[in-house]
Amino acid sequence: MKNKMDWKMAFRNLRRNKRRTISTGLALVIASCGLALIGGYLYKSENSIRTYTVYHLRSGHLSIWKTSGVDKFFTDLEQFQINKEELSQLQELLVPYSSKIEKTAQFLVAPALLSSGQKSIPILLTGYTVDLDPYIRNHPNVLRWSPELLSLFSKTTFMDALNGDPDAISVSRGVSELIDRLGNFSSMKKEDRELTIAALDSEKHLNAVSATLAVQHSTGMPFLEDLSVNSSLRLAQNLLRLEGIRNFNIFLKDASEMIWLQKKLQADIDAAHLPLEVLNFKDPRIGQFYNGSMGFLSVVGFFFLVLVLGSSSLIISSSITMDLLERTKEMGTLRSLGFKASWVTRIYVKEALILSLMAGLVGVAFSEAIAAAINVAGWTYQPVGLNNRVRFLIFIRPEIHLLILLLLLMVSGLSSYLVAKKKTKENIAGLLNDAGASA
Amino acid sequence: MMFGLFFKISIRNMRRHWRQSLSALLSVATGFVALVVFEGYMKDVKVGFYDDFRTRQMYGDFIIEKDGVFSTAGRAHPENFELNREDQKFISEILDPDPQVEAWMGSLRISGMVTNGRISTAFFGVGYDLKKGLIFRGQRWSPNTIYGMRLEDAGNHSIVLGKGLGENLDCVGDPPVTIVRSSDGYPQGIRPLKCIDKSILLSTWTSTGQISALDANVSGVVDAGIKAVDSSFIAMSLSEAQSLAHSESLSYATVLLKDGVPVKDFVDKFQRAIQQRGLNLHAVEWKDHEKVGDIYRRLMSMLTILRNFIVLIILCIGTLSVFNTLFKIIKGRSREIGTWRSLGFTVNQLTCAFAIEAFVLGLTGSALGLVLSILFTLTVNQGHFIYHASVFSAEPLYLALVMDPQACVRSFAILSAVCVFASMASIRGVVRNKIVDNLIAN
Repeated sequence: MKNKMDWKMAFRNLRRNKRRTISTGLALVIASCGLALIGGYLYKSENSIRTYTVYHLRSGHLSIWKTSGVDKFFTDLEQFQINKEELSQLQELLVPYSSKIEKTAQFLVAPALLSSGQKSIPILLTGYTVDLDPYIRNHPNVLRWSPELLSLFSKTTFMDALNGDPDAISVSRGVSELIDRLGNFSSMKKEDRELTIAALDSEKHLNAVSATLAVQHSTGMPFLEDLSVNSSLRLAQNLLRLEGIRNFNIFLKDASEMIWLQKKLQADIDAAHLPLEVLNFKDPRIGQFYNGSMGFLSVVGFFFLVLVLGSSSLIISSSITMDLLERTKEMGTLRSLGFKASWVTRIYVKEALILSLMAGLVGVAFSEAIAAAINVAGWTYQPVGLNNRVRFLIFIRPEIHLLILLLLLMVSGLSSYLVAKKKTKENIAGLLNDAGASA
Repeated sequence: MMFGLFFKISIRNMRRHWRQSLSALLSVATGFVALVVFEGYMKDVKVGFYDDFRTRQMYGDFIIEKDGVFSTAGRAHPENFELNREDQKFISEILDPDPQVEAWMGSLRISGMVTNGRISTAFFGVGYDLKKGLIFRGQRWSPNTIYGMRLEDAGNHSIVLGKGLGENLDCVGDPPVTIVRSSDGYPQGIRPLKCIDKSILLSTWTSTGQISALDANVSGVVDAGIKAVDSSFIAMSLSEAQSLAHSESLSYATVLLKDGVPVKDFVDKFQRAIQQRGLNLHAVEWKDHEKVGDIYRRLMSMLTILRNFIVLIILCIGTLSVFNTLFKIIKGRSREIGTWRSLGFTVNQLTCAFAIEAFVLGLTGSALGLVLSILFTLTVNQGHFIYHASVFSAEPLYLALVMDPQACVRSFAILSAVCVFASMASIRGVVRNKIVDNLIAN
């Protein structure tokens, strides 16, 4: 009953002084709004970078390599490949987890030379199981977090091209320019489309295979754009005279199970005495793009949050302190009427909590409205490290709102409690004579 | 005269009403810290880029290239877009006698395959004039290798590799050390480099389609900046790069101006000379260069957007807080205002007096903010916090802040304006009351 009256009184007090309520409330609204928007931007950025790494760069959530293969594969292809037998054992080990795995893909990568007869350029050939392309292209995460990067895929699917010609290759736009083969490949003369790829094979001998220019793609990364050539796994294996692969990537249905599955799988692999290691896409050895981008974004985000949060908290706290100091006489009156110091303190704390809660809720509504307006506006920007422009979007998770709301309640509750407790303990006559903030 | 009086009164009032002023001071000070610290981080990134690109990577103050070098035609046939003898002669004629020029240097881009007999991989590199390179790098970056010997001290047929390419070719530090990039240059001394095989073979294709090869020794490993570049980078002497490419041309020339020479004015002057001669060349500062300055521009643009966002939030919250505080102070001083007016002060004079008081408040808050910012900056800089940002650096970086006087002045101006604006908005209603109402106000 008494508790209910506290809340009523606190609410009435807020209504009584509209100017004070509005100005402090507005500061709280703006702070919560700003924090929610930057939180939403960081959340969206992390998801886009993760989606780009896992799907567009085809890293998968988990990647299985020969032990030390990440560093040493190119020094000894034969030794650091995952050979056929190991691959088959690995696939057996994956069977119990099939319900958690959405897709798997095999990769073989090699530095090589692409020659058109007139020109030769260095390339990075990636042979892989190309049924991965339609999976990535239609994946809900890709459609949600980085739809603009779908333009990185060629219009003609590489898989279709390979069905017609097993020697078909897909080259990045940069490679097309460097070998002077621009335009629609299908309308080119056959001899212009026929190229040769050469590389040192697993026995360190120079080997070459024929390839047909079929499709153009983009890596999205400026520094890979002059190097990237994709082929079937078979073509890369023929070039390197290998039967195995470099790495085996796993795409999970639920990314939150990544660490759990990584540990389970590594334990199973160790128990089977297979010389393989399971890495996740955040591992610095294979996830340079993710780690580099997130490293920078985290520092900037950290600065932003600390500075805005710190200054907002201090400003709000000083604003609430001033509100209470202004009301010293009021405190004296309440105390002289017989109210206990703890009760008076409670009233003021509740007042601050109501104000913060209301302002926080208004902040939620405002930030959602601003985010929606920004998302509809369709602004684009060019992030560091990517060729493509991406849409500037803000997605604010309910957890972000909740966290900010709790923070506001904590800051305002604590400030009001400390000030009110100190003031209400003073002598009643002193409180009544105190001019408070108007001295 | 009147200004001096108001100034004195404002200081006295601030001291008299210190409890209320403290709240406004805190708001201004925290706003000041937020603005200056974020600007300090931006400045550090900017200074780091300038140090890295201008000095360590030897791009100097501006770059001279053929028009269309990055066009489709330029990329398919780079040999047609190189600086030929006539271009080089022109550059030399203009720059050699100019007292504002410290040095200019020619460079040739080169790409191909590199192999140590066991591993073969692609490389993209540059050949540069070694003697001029030392001038460009200055004393701090004179030793530019992480491991091994710099090119200038190694003999003929030597090359240095990007750290990532070195790892691919089994050339690593022995023992490996963690070097954090900073603008002080690398720690003194040579850190040993261990290669399974230091002899390597570079092969490339000349403009006539012939294969050309060069045997070389790996003398050292350098940080080539961005991770993707670092894993395929080599550097060698210009003469050997030209010999490998069977060419006498340059891909580009870089120009280092003497300290204090205004770069933009010099670039404009040089561009006019190009036009007068009718050559299809252009000069551009490295930060405006299509490829070299791309990451710098994107990064700074992103940081600027975030900085503006911070300014907006601090401005809004700060204005409200200061307004709130000043409103209370002014309302509480209604009698004082009434007394002033009864003594003959006009509304404008009183508005001016309170504006001066608010300005002094802004000034004092900024001074407090400045002290806090310096303390914060010192703490962060002494903390030697390390972070990775491979979108623009292969090596880890120190988290550092630079105290930027311009940012301090800007923040002070913004926050003082906020205080003055808040004071003028607060006082309007009170000074327009009747004098008697102000005198009897409670």
